[in-house]
Amino acid sequence: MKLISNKLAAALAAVSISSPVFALGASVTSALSTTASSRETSFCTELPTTINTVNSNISKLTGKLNTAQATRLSNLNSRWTKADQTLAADRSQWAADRQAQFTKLEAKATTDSQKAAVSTFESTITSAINTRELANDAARATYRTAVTNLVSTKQSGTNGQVAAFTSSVNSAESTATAGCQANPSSAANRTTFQTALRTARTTYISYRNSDNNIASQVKALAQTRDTAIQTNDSTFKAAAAAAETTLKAAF
Amino acid sequence: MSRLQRGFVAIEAVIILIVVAGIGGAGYEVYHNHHKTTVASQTSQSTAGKTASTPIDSNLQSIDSILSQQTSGETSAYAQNTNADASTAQSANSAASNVGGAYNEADF
Repeated sequence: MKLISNKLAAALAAVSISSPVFALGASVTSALSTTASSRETSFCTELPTTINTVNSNISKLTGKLNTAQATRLSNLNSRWTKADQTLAADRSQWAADRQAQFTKLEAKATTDSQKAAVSTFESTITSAINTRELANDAARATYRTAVTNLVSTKQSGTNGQVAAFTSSVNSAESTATAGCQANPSSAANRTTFQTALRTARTTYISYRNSDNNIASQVKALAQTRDTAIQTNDSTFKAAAAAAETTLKAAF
Repeated sequence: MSRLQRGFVAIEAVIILIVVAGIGGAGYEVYHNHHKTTVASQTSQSTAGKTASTPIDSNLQSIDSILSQQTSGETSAYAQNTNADASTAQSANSAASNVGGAYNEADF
């Protein structure tokens, strides 16, 4: 009897202890269902604010993209201009140094044939240098034009992707707005909107991932430029070596 | 002249001949060595003269140095910017990708 009464007391105690837990669990479940339910019911009410937020974010991020695109072209042109200035200064210095050596060479020519040989040598070297400079400039111009075109093409493609993305989002917004006007209490308004936005973003990201190779394309263009410059160097070196051989024969 | 005296003179003559021959041989050897050295030196100088610089070689070396400097400068003038160009070209990519993060549909 005493044993039974102890078990009964323990059971009553367990129930009394666990009841608040059950009560709390029930209240959480109720709150969650209320939240989900309230989101569905408030979706149409909050839709204008949601649309405004989405459009504002897209506009803000698109603005940053446009700035980055403009900065990109500006930085490329700025670097090229600076390199041009440096090269022009170097070429002037090389020409001055070369002329100084030509003058010393002229002093070594004592006979008419030697003077004529020096004169021919100077004009041959100068001509070969001018030819190489023009050829190198052409290779660089070709590279720059190709890079600029590549960047412009990529920019157009990216802007097209952004436009398609924005259009898809706007379409989802219009559909949701119409759905909410027709049936404000339908849960499908929210799920349809979410699905459309997810699809729009996934499609956009897929485009972006397939359009992420501009750096390697620029390097390939640079390689073509450098190969052309190496060819120009080989042509120049052959002309210079032949000119020196001819000149030496006169002394 | 006694036989003894005649024999002594003969021995003296032989000794003198040997001494003269030795001096002569040594002299020839010295002369020969000296001649060889001189000829070798002259040959060396002559060979060097054939491959030696012309009066303008130092000038040409200086000109070659300037031309090499320009060749190197022309090549590196833009090659060193290649990586920077590539990096700049793709600098807008992250901004483009960020547009896709304009919203999280799960929040709506």
